[in-house]
Amino acid sequence: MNPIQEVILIVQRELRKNFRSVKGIVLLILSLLGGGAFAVINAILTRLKTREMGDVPEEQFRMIREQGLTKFYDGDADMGKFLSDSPDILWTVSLITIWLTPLLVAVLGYDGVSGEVQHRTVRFWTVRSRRTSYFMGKFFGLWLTVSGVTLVMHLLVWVISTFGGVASAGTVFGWGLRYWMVSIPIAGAWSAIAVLIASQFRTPMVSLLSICIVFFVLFCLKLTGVWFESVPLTCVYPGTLDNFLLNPQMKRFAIGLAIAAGFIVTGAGAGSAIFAKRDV
Amino acid sequence: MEPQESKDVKSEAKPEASLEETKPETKVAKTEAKSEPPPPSSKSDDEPASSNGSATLAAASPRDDVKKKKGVEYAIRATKVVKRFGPKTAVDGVTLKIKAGSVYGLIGPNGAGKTTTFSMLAGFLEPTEGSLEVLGFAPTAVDSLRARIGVLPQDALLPASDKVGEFLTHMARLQNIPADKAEAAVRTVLEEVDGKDWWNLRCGALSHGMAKRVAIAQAFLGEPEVVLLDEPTAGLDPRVAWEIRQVIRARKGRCTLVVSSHNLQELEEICDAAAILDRGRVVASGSINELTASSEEVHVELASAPVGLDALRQVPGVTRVEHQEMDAMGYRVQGDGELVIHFDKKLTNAESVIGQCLWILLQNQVRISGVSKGRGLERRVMELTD
Repeated sequence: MNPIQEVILIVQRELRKNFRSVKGIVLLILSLLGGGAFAVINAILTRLKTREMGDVPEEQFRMIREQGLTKFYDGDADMGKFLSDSPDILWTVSLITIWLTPLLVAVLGYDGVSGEVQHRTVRFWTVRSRRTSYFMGKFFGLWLTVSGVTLVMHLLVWVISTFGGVASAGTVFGWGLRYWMVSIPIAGAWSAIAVLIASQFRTPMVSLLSICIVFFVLFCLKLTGVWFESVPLTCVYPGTLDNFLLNPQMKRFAIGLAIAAGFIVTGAGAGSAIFAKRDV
Repeated sequence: MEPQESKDVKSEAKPEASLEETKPETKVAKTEAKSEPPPPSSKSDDEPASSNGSATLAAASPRDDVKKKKGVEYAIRATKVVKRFGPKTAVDGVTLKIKAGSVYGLIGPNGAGKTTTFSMLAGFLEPTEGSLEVLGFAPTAVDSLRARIGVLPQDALLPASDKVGEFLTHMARLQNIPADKAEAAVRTVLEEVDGKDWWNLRCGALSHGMAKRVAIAQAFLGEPEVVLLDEPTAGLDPRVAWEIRQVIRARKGRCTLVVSSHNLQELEEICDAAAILDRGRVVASGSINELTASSEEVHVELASAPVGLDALRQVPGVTRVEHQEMDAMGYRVQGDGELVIHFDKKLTNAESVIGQCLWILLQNQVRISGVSKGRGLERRVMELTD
């Protein structure tokens, strides 16, 4: 059996396990409730805005949005102009998703490896699959689970926004898909870091604590980068990669993708190499 | 055997000693191993244990596989294996050779290094020094050993959220059993452990005994050539333990079984051969007959004072008769002590000696409360371990 087949089998089990676990179900429901409530409120506000401010031209709204977005993305006028065409709700949901992703990753991934090492359950796998395949299966399983949870949340928002008259279905789904896809490499980067850290410990709570500490340290480094206007330093926090991944310029997009890939390759590669050598 | 002799055996078993064959006929003595022929699995036939084991076997045809099975005389080889955890040496120079097709026991008190040795054989732990081979491969060469080795790890919890059927099917798929045959393979092993109705039960809802059976079922999945069972009956009530022993016994002859256990009676019943470990070292090893000296001495427990010892000494083949009131550990033997009748196994056998000696003792109106061949594994282990 080749390693890819092993990884696929392990990922299938991880997805089944994650979406069936109490933790996974609760997170999914919370995401749905949060996303749904947010989308409903936004749809109501949109109707209110249309009714009360119907005489204000749409172009004026777009200009305000463009200026706001340009400011938000550190004066990047291209980004401001590009994103001002998208419905506000989708941009906001994307932002929330990107902010919540590390939390989702930490909660869903902290016990993936350490829990099975603690109870020696991992031993049933290590006689049948390469350690690296097991590790990569855990990593891809977490990544897909997080992406799946966010997709469900986004889907709900898209549907409510469409029926709420926020924009046409084509606009909503087109922009929505784009925003969700931006969250995928970011979720991958977070997952790689989380699995790397979590696999170093035998106690899930220690893993969770360590993941939270590392994520917080990365956040502090990002703030330091923002303070000193150092772009490379801000990039150590994967949550800032949307600045690159949403950019209409191909070069900026490619840089963002490369940074995310760097996180994924380094995190998953180092994690699987360490796991292959350690005692279980 | 006298306590002094026991100590001699123990002192012989240095960590660097390469030890036994596992056939009953073979000798325990370390010196014999030095003149053993070279290992049958040469580099040209099998991947060396030191290699990663790559994919040579994975792609092998069934015919190649049969060749390989025939080519491996020793299912397991451990050479001067050392495992340290920080300053603590858990396994100190263990050398073992386990014949393919045999049932082998790893025996010893808590902390003797049984589970650590077992874990290294299963690839869970990396030895600090020395080399290990399972079917000619390093234990970590998963791709080469996949489906050829089954392992029951001690105290490993089954994944609580998985259903029994889906867990075992997943294991079967990882063993490269095709999807359309995996369910049948799983149902076969579940039936073997008397758990055919457990398919839809969650692993977390199983009792300890049921969980152990499911874990044994996963070890037996796909007819592996080598099965490692670490404490298969630990923590089970006598009935479930007996049933699991029957399951293991039923596997005898179908694969090489390595069983680590505290239950010496169980091992004496099941195993062809065993190694006794103490403080990380092999202190004795060989066939069960050799370890218990069951082909060299007979023990007669007495309920009255012994009479007619001279007549016993005249029995053909008997070399020595001793009356012991204390056992090897210095505890008083129940009743009026026991007679230890040593005999030359080349001249006679235990059954003849028992028949003739009992006849003499009964004629002398000696009351007998028990007769056994050899010392029993338990007594042997007590003699050899601290």
